[in-house]
Amino acid sequence: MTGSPAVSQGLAHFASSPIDIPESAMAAGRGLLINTVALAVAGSRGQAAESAWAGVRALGTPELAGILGRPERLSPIWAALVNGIAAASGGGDDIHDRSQMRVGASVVPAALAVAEWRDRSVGELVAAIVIGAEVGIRVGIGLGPSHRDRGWEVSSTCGVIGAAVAAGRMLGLDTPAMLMAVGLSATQAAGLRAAAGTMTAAFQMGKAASNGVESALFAATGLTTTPISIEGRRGLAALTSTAPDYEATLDGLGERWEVEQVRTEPLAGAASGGQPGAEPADRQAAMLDRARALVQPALGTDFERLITACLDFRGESSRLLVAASFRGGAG
Amino acid sequence: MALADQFALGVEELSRQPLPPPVRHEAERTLLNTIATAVCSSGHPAVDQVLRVSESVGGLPFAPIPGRIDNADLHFAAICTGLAAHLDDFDDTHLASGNVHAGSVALAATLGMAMQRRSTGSQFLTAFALACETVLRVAMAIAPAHHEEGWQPSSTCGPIGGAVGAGLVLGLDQTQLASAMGLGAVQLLGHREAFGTPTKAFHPGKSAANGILAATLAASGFTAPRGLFEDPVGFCAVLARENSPDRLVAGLGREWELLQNTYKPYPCGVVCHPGIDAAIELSGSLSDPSRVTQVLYDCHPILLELVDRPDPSGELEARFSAQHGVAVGLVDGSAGLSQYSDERVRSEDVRRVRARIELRPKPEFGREEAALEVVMEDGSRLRAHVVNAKGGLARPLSDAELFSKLDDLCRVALPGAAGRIAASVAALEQAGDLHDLVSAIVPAPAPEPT
Repeated sequence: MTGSPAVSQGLAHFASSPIDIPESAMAAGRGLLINTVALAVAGSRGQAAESAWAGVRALGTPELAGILGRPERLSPIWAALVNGIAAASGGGDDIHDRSQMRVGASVVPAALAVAEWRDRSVGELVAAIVIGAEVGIRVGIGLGPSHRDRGWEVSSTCGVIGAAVAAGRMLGLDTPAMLMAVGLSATQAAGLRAAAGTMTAAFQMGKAASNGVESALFAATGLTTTPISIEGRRGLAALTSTAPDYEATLDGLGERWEVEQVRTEPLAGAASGGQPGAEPADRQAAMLDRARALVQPALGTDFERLITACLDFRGESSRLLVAASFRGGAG
Repeated sequence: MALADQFALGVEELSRQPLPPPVRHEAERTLLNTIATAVCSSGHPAVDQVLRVSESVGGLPFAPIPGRIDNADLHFAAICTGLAAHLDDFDDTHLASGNVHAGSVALAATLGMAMQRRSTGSQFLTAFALACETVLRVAMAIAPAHHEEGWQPSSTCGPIGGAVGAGLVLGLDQTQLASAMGLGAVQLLGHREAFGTPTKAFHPGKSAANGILAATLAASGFTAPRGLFEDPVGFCAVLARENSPDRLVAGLGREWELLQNTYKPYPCGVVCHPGIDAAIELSGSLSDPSRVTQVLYDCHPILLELVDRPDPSGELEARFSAQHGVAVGLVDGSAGLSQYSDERVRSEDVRRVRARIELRPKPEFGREEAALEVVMEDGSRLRAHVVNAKGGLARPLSDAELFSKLDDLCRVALPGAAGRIAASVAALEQAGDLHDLVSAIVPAPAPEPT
């Protein structure tokens, strides 16, 4: 749209710049990581995750990145797919109220797959989750209610962009490459609300994670696309929203952190986790209680090892986190 | 019964019968044309970029990529194949559905898997034909609004067609096929904003890979909700304000959209073709193109929307420049691949003519119609009016012209291979496997050192 701010460029610049992320946003990122890992472990033996794992294995895949809650390993694009499906298949997701977006099941598996494959620290992983979630949520805010009213599932359509940014951040993309990662993912924005409550709803979240990783990898090798994928005349906003609000997407970017407003939905047998507004330490403790209830049945006492890995920022590898996610994996 | 179930039932039944001879012939023509365009662009840097990602995260490379010596896993081979087949915008075009290019998606979704599963030639050709038919029928259900709103229907509908093609190769039953279609539908992609970049061609390649994933997951027990196509906020409603989901199944097996497929004589947007025909027609009487002062180009209004680019910067943009097509038609008397090279696009004589072209939208013109009026320095005027573009439904390329196109497009990557390729496609009906076809469309391996 003529005269509209350069949304794609603004987001790509933010996503690829050195940023001093405030502790409150990092705490929100840790909450997303813990909740999503817990949900993925809990869902890792469900029918959706089993079918997805068996399917991608039949396609042929190298063993580069882990599946949460399972000993098998896959290509990063397929690990992101299976982990995203597992995390989205049981309910109890996170939610950002203003955008109506569930963000963990797309952004976290994408960031984790690359972090583990490239052996990055948990601290870097959480920072990438924060940046990816922030971008995805802000695109969702900009697309507004008309996007969802039309039938689009915002968690997937904007999740793929958040996933691409998180994966791109893990790969260390510079701004021009990050802009291409945004563009390659925006043109793959998919997901229908008509699939809600089915295995397919979980699939489209996992596919958003997978497409995000792949978009970042293609951007890193130099594949090019439009620099105005979101705001262009035939771009994401024009095609899927009747009233895009680009100012809302960019407003306060890097100063006000939307990711801090993500809360977790209550789940049977598991506390709702820390909520926005609570002190970071209280939030984290509440999130741990919830996660414990989710994964204790699958992991038993190994749960504490997993949580230690999720919270370790002192240079520990993300590989340890994945290894701690299944019984005997970190032993 | 939900539309996906009806469609899956019908298509599964069709897959167990021989294709009607005219359909088989058109499938062979579409296949030949797709192989030609895939081979032609197989060395493009964008294909190299996809293969670099494949080398780092792809599985065991066994699936062929037409025109290339290197292989990839099913996922990345599909992306490379569809990307290359569409890169030059020279692939098959189905006009009524919004210029859908079904062949690139269908070949990319079926070739590697059919080879892996040791399909017979006839099983492969049938899966290819039904993948095309699926893409086209889904596109018809949301045409023309979907394309006009700004989408690339080849890749929004592509994952569904790819899922059916790959699903038939895998031998899915009708329930699994219907699930595969739903899993394909939620993997749609392709905004027209990416036109003019390699991502336009990445779209059909990726949509084929998405179709393969949909079929593979359905084979492993993954399910999709029924009714996803006709749901009031489902696939058709989301993608086109005006839609007719029933067109997916209406007349399935009796009326074939594939029979309406066309093949481009020029490597550019199909709406540019009638103008190029007119320009080539006039070029013979144009003794000195440098004396052209003005070109009035009457055309369908869609050209101003899609291809109004008076000064394209290079090859990719020129493929979507109505002005460039007419300029080279007038100056060179042809519009082949060499007329779209960066060098030719930037050359002074062509730029000069392009700058003098005025597009004039004519609401009464058909999409295959154009008229040129060339005004010379001495005031003389040349006129040509084309009602039906060459390569369109009214003037289809003959089998011989299609073979010449194949021969031309194979010149760099597979010189002299056209005869063998055409023979292996013609022999598919009787072929016990795809060995001859695959070895005809990839370069011979270097001889082992002795």
